[in-house]
Amino acid sequence: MLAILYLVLSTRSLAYASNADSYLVRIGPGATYYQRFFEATLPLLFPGTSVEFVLENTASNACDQATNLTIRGWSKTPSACGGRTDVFVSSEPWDATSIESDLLITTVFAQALLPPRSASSILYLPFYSLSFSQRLQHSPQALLRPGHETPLSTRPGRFCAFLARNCIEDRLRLLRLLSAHEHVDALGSCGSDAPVRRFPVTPLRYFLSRGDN
Amino acid sequence: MHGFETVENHTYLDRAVEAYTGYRFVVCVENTRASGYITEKIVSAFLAGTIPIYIGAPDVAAHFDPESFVNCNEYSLEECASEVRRIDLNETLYRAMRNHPPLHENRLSAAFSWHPDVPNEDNTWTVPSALENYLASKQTSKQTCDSDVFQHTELLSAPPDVSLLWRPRTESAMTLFLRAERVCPSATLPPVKSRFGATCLITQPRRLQGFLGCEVGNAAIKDSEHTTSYVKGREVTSLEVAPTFHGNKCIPAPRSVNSSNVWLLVPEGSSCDHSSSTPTIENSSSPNTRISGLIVVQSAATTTSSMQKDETGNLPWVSISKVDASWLHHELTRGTPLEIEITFKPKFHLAIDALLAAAEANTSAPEDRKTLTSRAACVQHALTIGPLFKRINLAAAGICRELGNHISADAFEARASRLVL
Repeated sequence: MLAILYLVLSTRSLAYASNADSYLVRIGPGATYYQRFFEATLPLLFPGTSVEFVLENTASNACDQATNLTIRGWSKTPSACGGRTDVFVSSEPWDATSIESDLLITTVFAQALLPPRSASSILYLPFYSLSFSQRLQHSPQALLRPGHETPLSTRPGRFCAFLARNCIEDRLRLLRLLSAHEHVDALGSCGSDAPVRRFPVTPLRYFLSRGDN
Repeated sequence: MHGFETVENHTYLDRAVEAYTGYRFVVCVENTRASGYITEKIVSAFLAGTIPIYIGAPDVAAHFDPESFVNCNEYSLEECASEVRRIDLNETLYRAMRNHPPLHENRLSAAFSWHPDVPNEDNTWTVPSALENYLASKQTSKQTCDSDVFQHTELLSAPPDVSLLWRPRTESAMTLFLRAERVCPSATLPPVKSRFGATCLITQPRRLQGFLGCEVGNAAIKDSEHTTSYVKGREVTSLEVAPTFHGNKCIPAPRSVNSSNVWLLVPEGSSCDHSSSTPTIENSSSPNTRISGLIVVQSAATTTSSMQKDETGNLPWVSISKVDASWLHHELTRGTPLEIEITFKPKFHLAIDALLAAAEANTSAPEDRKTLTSRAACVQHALTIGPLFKRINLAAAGICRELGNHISADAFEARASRLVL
């Protein structure tokens, strides 16, 4: 009987999930920015095992597979296929229903976008969790207590901040609506044409070619 | 930590938290609304001690305490803004929300068990043995190796920096085109002729095919007809690229330059003035070879200069990013023979049209599920780059409908209804 699981982040367990000590992890298409979340986190998910990483544009199309693959970095050359666990990382909310792998790691929890439960085990690993692989100043415990960066007794003086690179419509509309109440500060590259104050000082990713967000 | 810049031991996410500190609210709108798709945005706001104004995953309240943020999924945008205003004007409400812990203890271990700082003393998370059995059964039953695995390994000698593959999707419509070509082999791309002829450096075929994106033109000509041209297969030329360019003289490549079609790679920050005369190759085996064009590294100075010359009828030029130039220079200095395809950057909407046309071209047998899946893949790729285009979403909705995925179809249609273009 095939037991199919939806795991919500019992990620440490992956090292023990199988007798196999070798994994092929294919990181599916997505923004560089988010793929690097996975690059940073996956070694923690597979401690003590041999993990090969592959960046892949798509795994669902045969013609693409033939031309569109490359290796990032430090992988070992697999000597055989047997005994290795195939893991596919679907890093964006798109249709992964045709993905075939032993384990699918996904950042969405939408049935319509996931393969049938008979086709793959599925591990849900949201980006908000993965983001802590790129936070040097905070650990997840900080979320257990509110507002630790600013004394709670102090009411922050500024109304609202907005930091984004991708100017999707909802963002801009909301900016304009909020600005009717009080100034919204656009901290990123998006929003400069909105009726908001603009502060051109931001984290690197919002100006460098880090990704789409 | 891997792959990210840090400044004084702060990553960009740390700096985002710093930037938010001192604000009462932070707008957190996800790029896509999908269950579970909750990104770093809301967390950065929480860590800064602000109240997130969240729009995105409909199930966000299952992850973070809804008393700790403004969940605008429940409102229209107008209602959302009103709710924010209401909270902001009521000190009691504001304090209550801000003082509410965003994450409960029981969610911590569930959501962050991988994190070294999160205690996992009782090891209660043990993966059900069912998964172990499942994985084991799949492995033992595997009879053959997937051929694509070995195709991966053949590429191990590729340049180490393959981040070119992942150029930001909003940056280069060319990337979209190239994806269309790969995913949709029958793609018929618009045979529009460019005034510049061959203009844009793209690729070395055998390796990284199609991934050296490029920018052509700047704001001054971005909207002109020239930038809408895309030439594929008609003006593709094999070129040799001379590695360096000083003044009007080109230092020949390590190997002899014997092509009649030579482009120069102009180093970053070069003060060369290529306006006075057409550069020539010095000490070349073909001394009379004319320079066909310039490849300049992206910077305000070189781009502007080149563009002006181009507008006055001088050499065509392309600008490429520093990382692309670095790779190119690396290959040149190794003496790697380069087959350069020259194409032209299309306007974004043309790229999308072409992609949709390619998807349509695959519809030789509409009843064939495989064909449908292929079309769906095409549109899916379009969505990765152009999710904000109405017709892309409508196309996706139609294909999802044909595939029987009505939930996705509804979602695409809903999104399309909010879009104009």
